[in-house]
Amino acid sequence: MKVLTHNMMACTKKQCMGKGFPLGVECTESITLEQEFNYEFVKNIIPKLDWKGIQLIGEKLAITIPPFTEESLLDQEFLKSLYHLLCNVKIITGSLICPNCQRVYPIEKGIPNMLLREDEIYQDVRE
Amino acid sequence: MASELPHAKEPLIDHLTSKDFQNVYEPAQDSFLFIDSLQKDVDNLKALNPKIILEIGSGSGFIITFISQLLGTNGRYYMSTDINPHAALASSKTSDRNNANVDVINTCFIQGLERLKGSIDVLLFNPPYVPTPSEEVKEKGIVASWAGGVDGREVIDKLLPQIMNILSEKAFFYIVLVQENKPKQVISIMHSYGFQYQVVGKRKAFNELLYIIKFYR
Repeated sequence: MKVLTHNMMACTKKQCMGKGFPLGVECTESITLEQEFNYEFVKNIIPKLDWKGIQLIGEKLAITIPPFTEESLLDQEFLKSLYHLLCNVKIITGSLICPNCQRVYPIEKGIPNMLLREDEIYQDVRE
Repeated sequence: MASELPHAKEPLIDHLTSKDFQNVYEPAQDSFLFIDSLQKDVDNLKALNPKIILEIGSGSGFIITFISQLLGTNGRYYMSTDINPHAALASSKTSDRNNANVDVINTCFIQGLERLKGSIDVLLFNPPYVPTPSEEVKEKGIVASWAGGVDGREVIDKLLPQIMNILSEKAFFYIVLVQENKPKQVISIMHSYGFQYQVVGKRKAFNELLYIIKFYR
């Protein structure tokens, strides 16, 4: 699971709609890919990002991104490190935790499992 | 029509074995028509210049890996989902085998990816389209890769109302349909959501008449 994917995620439970974000992160294994920096991509994605989510996962992965300001868009170093964090850092083993219901979603072999169990879906509908 | 064109360069899947294909749909005529149709539409895809590309139900990962190779990974973010954990893993392995850089999520459609809404520039869907009794749609594993319920439309019809919220304004949505799915009805449903269509691939394969249809606003 790459960092940009994390930024697009939320708890899948109905009861957590609007509250299940950003997901907490635990990481026991990660890898770093080598995608070349792309200015157009990062410029396009910035308006869609949630900075609270970026800060949260950055802290867990020990990659600091300075707070976003208007000037950040002109700051090559900022854009490069943001691109690197979003597209090149991938969690292989770990978990995601809903800030609202504390549901834990495991990440194994690089793949987060966002599926609810049958009983959780049933419970979700009842509530 | 597609037979006049050279076949698209297929991704390598030699890392998957017959054991994998007990749990994961093995690329077949529908998959081949899908990649040939994407190849044929490559100029339009390049003009669109998509940033975020997603396949729902990516199975072996054959199609999402193909489009990653077709358009390149620089400046593009490839994602795929599958409800079957074996398929999600196979997709990830196929991506790795071909350096396609696809991020895979084990989920149903885009559940859990709420914030992606409005950001997908290219959406790919090779649905479970085979007409079956409704009960089979709920089955897990490989059955989920083909069991489509009444008219093969039950899974397709669940996704269609979500499409307009998932896609970005200029996005393309490619879907595989067979004659039994009543493609004209699907086109009319999508039309009611404001989408035009183009048939980008059509092929008779054994007992199936396959279509690849592209929807766009």
